[in-house]
Amino acid sequence: MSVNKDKFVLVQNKFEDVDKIETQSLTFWQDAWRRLRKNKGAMFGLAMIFVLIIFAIAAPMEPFVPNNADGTPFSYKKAPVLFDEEGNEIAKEDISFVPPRIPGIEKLGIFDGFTVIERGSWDILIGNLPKTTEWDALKSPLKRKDLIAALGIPYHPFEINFIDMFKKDGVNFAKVKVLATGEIVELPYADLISEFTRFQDGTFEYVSSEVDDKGVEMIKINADYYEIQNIKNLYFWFGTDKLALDVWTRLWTGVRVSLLIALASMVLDFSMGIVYGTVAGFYAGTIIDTIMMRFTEIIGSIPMLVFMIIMISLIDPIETFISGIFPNITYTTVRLLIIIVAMSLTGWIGVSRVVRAQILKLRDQEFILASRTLGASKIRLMQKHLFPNIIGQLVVMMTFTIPGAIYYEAFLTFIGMGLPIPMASLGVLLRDGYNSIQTIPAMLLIPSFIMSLLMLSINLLANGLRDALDPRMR
Amino acid sequence: MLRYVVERLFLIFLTLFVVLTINFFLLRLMPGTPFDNPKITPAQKELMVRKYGLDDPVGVQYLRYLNDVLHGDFGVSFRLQDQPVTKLIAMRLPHTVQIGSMALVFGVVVGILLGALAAIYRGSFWDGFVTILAVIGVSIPSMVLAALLQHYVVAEWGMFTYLYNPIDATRGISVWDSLYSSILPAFSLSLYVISATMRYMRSELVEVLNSDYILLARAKGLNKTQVIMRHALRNALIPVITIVGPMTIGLLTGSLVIEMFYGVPGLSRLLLNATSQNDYFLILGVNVFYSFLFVTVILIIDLLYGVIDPRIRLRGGKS
Amino acid sequence: MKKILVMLLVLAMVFSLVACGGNNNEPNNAPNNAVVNTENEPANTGDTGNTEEPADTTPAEPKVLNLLESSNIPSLTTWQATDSVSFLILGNIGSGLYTLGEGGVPVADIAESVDISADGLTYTFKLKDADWSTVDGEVYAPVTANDFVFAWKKLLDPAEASQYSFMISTASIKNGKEAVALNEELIGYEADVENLETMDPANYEDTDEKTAKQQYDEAKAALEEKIAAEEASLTETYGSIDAAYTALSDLRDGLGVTAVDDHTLVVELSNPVPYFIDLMTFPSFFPANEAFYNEVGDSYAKSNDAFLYNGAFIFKEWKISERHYLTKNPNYWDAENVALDAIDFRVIEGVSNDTAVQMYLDGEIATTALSGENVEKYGNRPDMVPLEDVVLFYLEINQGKGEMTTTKQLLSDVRARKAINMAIDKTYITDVIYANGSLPADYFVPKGFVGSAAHDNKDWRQVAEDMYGGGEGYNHYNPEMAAELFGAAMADLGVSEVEFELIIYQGDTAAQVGTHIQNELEKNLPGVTVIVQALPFSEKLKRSDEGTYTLNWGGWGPDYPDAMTWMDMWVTGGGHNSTGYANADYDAVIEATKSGDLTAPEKSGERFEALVTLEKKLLEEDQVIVPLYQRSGVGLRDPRIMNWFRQSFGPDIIYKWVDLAQ
Repeated sequence: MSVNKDKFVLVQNKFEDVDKIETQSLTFWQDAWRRLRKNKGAMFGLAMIFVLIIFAIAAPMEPFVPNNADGTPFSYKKAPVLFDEEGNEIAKEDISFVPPRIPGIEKLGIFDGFTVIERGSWDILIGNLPKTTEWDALKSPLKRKDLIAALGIPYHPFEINFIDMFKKDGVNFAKVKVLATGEIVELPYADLISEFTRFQDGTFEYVSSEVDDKGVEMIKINADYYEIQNIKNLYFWFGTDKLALDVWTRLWTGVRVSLLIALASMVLDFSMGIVYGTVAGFYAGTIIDTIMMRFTEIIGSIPMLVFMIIMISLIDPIETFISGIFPNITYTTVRLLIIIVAMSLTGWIGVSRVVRAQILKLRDQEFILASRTLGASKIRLMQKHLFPNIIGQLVVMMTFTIPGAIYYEAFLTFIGMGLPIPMASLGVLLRDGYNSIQTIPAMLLIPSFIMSLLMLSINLLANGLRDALDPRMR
Repeated sequence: MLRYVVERLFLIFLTLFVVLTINFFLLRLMPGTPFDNPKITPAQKELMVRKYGLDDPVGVQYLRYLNDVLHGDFGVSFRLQDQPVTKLIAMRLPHTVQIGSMALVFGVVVGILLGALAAIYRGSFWDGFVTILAVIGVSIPSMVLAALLQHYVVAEWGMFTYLYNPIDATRGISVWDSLYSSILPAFSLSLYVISATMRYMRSELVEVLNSDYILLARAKGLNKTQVIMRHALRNALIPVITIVGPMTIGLLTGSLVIEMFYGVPGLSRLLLNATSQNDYFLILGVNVFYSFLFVTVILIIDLLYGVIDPRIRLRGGKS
Repeated sequence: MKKILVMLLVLAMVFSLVACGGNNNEPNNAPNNAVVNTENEPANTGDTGNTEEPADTTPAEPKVLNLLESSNIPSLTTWQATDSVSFLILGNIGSGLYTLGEGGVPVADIAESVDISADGLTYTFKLKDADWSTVDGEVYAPVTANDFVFAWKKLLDPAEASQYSFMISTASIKNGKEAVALNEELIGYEADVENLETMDPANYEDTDEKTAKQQYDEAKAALEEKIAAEEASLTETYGSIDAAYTALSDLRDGLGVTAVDDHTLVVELSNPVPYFIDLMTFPSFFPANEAFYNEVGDSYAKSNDAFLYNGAFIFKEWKISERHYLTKNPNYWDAENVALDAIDFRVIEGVSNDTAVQMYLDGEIATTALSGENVEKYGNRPDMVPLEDVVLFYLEINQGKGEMTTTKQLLSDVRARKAINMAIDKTYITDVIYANGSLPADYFVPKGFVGSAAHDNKDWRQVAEDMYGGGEGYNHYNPEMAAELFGAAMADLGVSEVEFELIIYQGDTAAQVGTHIQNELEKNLPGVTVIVQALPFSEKLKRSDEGTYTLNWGGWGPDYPDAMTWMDMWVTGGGHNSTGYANADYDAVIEATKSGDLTAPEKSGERFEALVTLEKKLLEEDQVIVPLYQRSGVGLRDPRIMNWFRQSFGPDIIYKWVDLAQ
């Protein structure tokens, strides 16, 4: 094969080009950003953080949040006031504790106001009888006949077992087995139930039925809570809690509060840790350093709970003190501040250790020595040489602190030392959700998911930052 | 070396002493007394306070307590039948240790394996997979994990147990039953350990694999498996040992959520109860014990590290 | 290829670990599947006890009741115990003169017979032949009248500092009641003297009106005056302060309880006490063996072998935070009528209700209470049992305790207090937040707590209904009226905005109830802002003692089966009255019904009506407190359990009666 000679051009040797840098000169941060951008995980994390922050800021505000009847947006601490079609206020009971329901998405079979629950057959067929002595007497096992007569139903729930439910000619039929005779009967569901049950015809889909070890039939149904509570015209996007507070509003307010607490305690940790660590690092090897380091061990041994209890007991003087500086401080804010301070009580120690170790390492390096020989002051040394060299690692540490702080707040809430009432945070929502796991698992799953997502995103970003800023760790 | 150890022991002693002192006085700032009960009158409470000598000046009480401690007596619990604090700690510790050690062993082994996997196949799918796994591991809060495990794994799927079962011959709970019931709590605790170990192991092994002596070994004709098994793994493991210490402390002191969810009668739970009841000596005892754990584990690591890595030993001797 | 080898190796190791976990699957499924646990060691502890062999050739399975306990035992010493867990265990391993039977009726335990003098002031008990048993089931000594005298005097012993010494006072035992009162007085005096010594001008700060020095001097003068008054009162009665101390120790020694002989115990009272026999079921009045107490010394009741058992059960195994194991006491005088062979409490601190329910469903425990979601899920099962309770929760309204503020001034107006009661929808608390059968309450003495023999054994609430139409209490929910009353009170005071501090305990449901009350008050009362403060236990107690609160959420369970346990809380300056309510008329009725002329046995009907009227005054007229709800619950219980009588005071359950159908 032949090659055309014209395609080759002789490149001249240009001596003056040897020292020329072809690529653009990059600062430390530009370089880090370039590397970070390549990290898909970190970019995903960063994007998610932005999305969550935007939600946290915007979602509890108009126009992104549903409105009360008077036009004001739902609040995280007050039950919504809503009117039915006749213009009467809907009772708080009716809008309390309903599952998530989002318009549009509900057609996909999620967030549709349904939740799978397990209930005894009595609950499904008879429900809660009025609290009168006559009805109480009828609950006795010996009066089964009288009870079904009084309710006008064909069978006592403990005398039949469900086999299946199906629709025939638009009517819901139940297929049940009569225990006494063993025969299998099909009859319209509506005939089977008392007027007192919440689970009227058409309010649920039958899932399965099981007789447990104790001989009690538990029926699993997919219940339409909005139909049961008769509020089919309403949408609570993430449901409501037992106090009828809107979870959507509470969740995003909670994310906001959790993030705020985490950021505040991070700032506290790092401002204290950096100063302390720098001083200790500078005096390393001397008695000052030893005392300072022992001091951190002692602070580290203070039990955080004890500290919090003491702070809460001193809340009045603290409030008076702070209101001297910032008037109009509220009790809630002071309680919040106490939590933040308690969280930072030991948090800064780790930071100061790292800073100290880094300074120790850098102190003996040649460029510091050179600068010092040239007469640089201590301040200049710190500003120009030490600090820029540890900033990368600090940024990484800071990022890793945030998920820790978010978790810590949730932990405090779980042991009953959490936020002032009625504030919402991820921890508060998790705890409430944990209590509702039997009926509406979404109450736990949604905040869990958001919290995990938030922590995951920040961790991913932190990982990426570490790789970008601290190349040795790659 | 000996002098170094003696010096360190002295420092430990000093630290513990100061911790004890600070905590002793700090606890007295807590509101109320150990005998708070809405049913009893102030006079009866006052009598109770006098009975335990809590009405003396705090300084006097402190000296008395210090004297007792020097005689090996860490006081009694006011709220649990005057039981000695040391006995209560000794009763609780084994459960915390059982769960903690299971979590540690499982976490470190799995972490090392996954870390090694990621390092050996650096840049591959497995590397990414393991890294993501590690991040997810630290991102799921322990209460969420525990709640989900209990609700889905135990209640829905019928695997494992809701609660931790202490070994109890008369109730028919054997060592194996007890270990079986420790699996979920230990697993919940170990996620963090796995993530940390894995990350550490990966970066250490990567560094070792890039080092000259590995290159030399490869150049000498050893195959990759042999190199990894004989040279790289062992050298990468040494630094990993250093993080085991702090993790041990974390597992022994920071398992409150897990203890609450799985009904483990452990130390953290004891501390929480004591704190909410103003049970001074018990809080003090557990706290000093925690500090003791902390400083001794740090010392052991430093010594061990000195044994493993001669360079450190030299430096230690000098200081 | 090699790559794959390494990977396989790694994977194999991971899976071997997982497999290790899986292998232990089988042994766990075997035990604990039945409530009647046959794997436990046989419960008979002495070999001599039962010579009667059942007629069957095969001996019956031991009847073991498996239960769950969520707290440890704080004290097994009868004169130190103050909490329900201790009382539960004590009430079953010890026995007193009486024990509680079905419906809370006292049933003779160690008492053989009782002779009550006509004036109701002297009780002469004849004792049965009963024995003290050691933990190994050996007879230690017979139970004598002296054991009662010893234990009761311990309640007053200053060295023991018994917290429940007020039970002696409640029972009005001669000299004991006086000793408790004098003791309170002396301790109050000592505390004041001490305060005077430690007073420091540095603790005072200048204000606009007064300088620090002025304030200090004023406070000091006030305290000195108080001390002088106390001294004067003591000197007047006893001659001198020292004489008062001597009098106190004389009163203690002269406690009106004497052992005439081994089987005769005589108790003298200061005034007739209609519920004295009921009180004798309370563990604080159980006997203790003096010889054994001296023998074991300091370790008494600190472990199960340093304790003697005269009750239906022996505390066989006491593992703190793990297990309380009681076995039948073969030496109990009524051992043949004790059906259970053992009670096995699994101790798990703060166990979640989901876990407890699951344990019940798996057959690991015989009964559990239901809370939260589980009420809805399991509340209508056939094995559901109602757990009726007589604990009442309420809000104390601070109408003037502590430093005076505008809010307290407002609340010293009864209209404002009534408005608070009328503004809170209590049904929401009981039906939505708790949903466990708790009852909304506008009343203070709970339903089903006490009846009156003089009124055809009608319940208190029924009598209140007949007398005043107060069966469901007074001042019902009425937001419009609330707003009106409150507005009027505010206008009279000339304020338009007030801030309430509601203090509650820390906890999930407490937070929900607190938030609900906050919502209701802010919604229904114009100008009100409510700050809910969830506080640690001690801190909340301190705040209520100091009066630095507006509304204080509290709960009260009875100490003895008489309405007095509720009504005497609100006497002027009473230890439990942190509202600042002071009403001489109220105090007078309490005095008359507690130790005055209405205590006479023949006036029981009149006394009952006087107390019902007093409740009406407390709520309808003065609205000292805002009742919220009467706690109740539902639980699941193994249908084979029989004779499970929940008691409203003292030990929750007397297991002596409980039986398991086979």
